[in-house]
This record gives sequence, structure tokens and C-alpha cells, in this order.
Amino acid sequence: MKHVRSTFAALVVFLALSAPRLALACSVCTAALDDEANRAFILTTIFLSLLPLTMFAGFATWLWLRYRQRMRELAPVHAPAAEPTPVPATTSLPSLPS
Amino acid sequence: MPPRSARAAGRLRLASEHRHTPLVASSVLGMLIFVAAEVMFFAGLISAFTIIRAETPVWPPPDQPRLPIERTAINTAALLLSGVALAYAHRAYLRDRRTARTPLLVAMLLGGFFVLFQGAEWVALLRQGLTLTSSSLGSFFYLIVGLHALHALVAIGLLGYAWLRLQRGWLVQSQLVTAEVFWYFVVGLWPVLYGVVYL
Repeated sequence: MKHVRSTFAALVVFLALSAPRLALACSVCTAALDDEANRAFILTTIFLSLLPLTMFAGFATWLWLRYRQRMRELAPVHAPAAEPTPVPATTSLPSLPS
Repeated sequence: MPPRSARAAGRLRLASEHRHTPLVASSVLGMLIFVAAEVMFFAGLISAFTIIRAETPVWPPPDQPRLPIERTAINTAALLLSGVALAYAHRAYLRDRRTARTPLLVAMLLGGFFVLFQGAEWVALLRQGLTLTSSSLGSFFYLIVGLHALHALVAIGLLGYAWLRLQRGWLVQSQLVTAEVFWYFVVGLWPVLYGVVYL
């Protein structure tokens, strides 16, 4: 049993050492080892990731602004109620008809 | 303070009007979604071009003709001017519909000039040896610039349709705005392509 385990461990070490040292996400990305190409890959990834988000955010903002403008235009305008005319205070008693 | 019933009626009127007049006309919304898809399409092409360019040791390829930067700058100015003319047409339409005819026509003519000038440029480049298969520069140049020219042609067609309807007095605002959205996309995209492909 001990012999089998040590053989298995040696096999695992051999495979690990003989495996490629570099694993890339796609088969054609070896070109990205070059600094300039690597930079281009990173920049275009950022560009393509942010562009749809920017468009959605811009559209949502524009829609929200239009909605607010529409609500302002449609809001019912009520004229302020007229203040009651104040009755002048008097100290004299009203004259009684004779 | 208005009575409670009046306030309720006001709210009802508000809700009713709000329901029947959409914030964005369906045609405009459809065009905006289409333009968003087109933006992503061109973004993919620009990204591919940028990576190929970065991987090529010498750019542009030494055996290939140089792109006419100065002449295309004039063409770019014409296209940008057509965008200004269209914005002016929109303002004129809101004031008095009949006055929008001339600026709309000017925008179309400037767009036509742009496409014709591009065609002449292509003929010259083909004669100099830049073809679709001559190099990666040629492939990307004709693909990206050609697709933009195709969009410009369709947009000019839309503007022409809007102009004809305006002539007959049938043009409604949403139709004009729909054509405008597509034309502004064509106009706004070109400086980006000019910067990426030519410079």
C-alpha cells in the first residue's frame, strides 16, 4: 500500500512539473505576452465592458429628466385662494334706526 | 385650497394624459435601441483593429500606401457641418415647419458630399495597391470605413424620406427625430473612426 501511494505521489509530481507553466484563457492569447498587445487587450476589454453600461446609464438619466419635465408640465396649476377681505374694526356702535 | 374632488380630478387628468402620451415615441425608442446595437458592433471592430495594430511591429505596413489624412479631415468637417445643419433644421421645424426644408436639404447634400468624397478616396487607394486582401490595414480599412459609408447611405435615405414628407406637409416630429438620431450616430461615430483608423 505504501509503495502504491509513493508511486502515485511521484506520478503527480511528474505530471505537475511536465505541465505547461503558462495557462492562458484563450488559445490565441500567446500574442498578449508582448507588452504593447497586452496593453491593447486590457484597454479594449475595459472599453467594451464600460461602453454598454455608459449607454444604459445615459439613457436612464435622459429618460428620468424627460419624466420630471413631463410631470412639471402636466402638474395641475391651482390658483391660490383669494384672501377674505378684512372687515375694518370699529369702536363705535352701529346707529340704530330711529 | 381646492376642494378634495377637484384635486382628485386633477390627479386623474394627470394620470390619463401621462398614460396616453409616451415619454419617447416608439419609432425614436426603436431607433435608439438599434443605434445602441450598432455602437457595440463598431466598438467590436475598433477593438479588433486596435489589437491587430498593437501586435504588428511596424504600423502602417511599410509596403502599403498611406491613408490621406488631410483630405479626409476636410471630409470630416463636411460631415460635422451636416450635423450642425440638421440641428438647425430641427429648431426651424419647431418654429415653422416650412423653414426646415433648406437646412434639411443642406444636411443631406453635405452627407452626400461625404460619401462621394469617400468613394473617390477609395478609388485612389485601390489604384495605389491598398485592397481588401493586401494587408490587415486594407482589410480593416475597407471593413470599418465601408460599413460606416453604408450606414451614411442609409441615413441619407432616411433624411431624404423625411424631406419628402416635409415637402408634402406630412412630416411629424417623431419621424424627424428618428432620422436625426440615426444621422447623429453616423456623424458622431466618424471622428472616432478617423482618429482610430487614420491617425
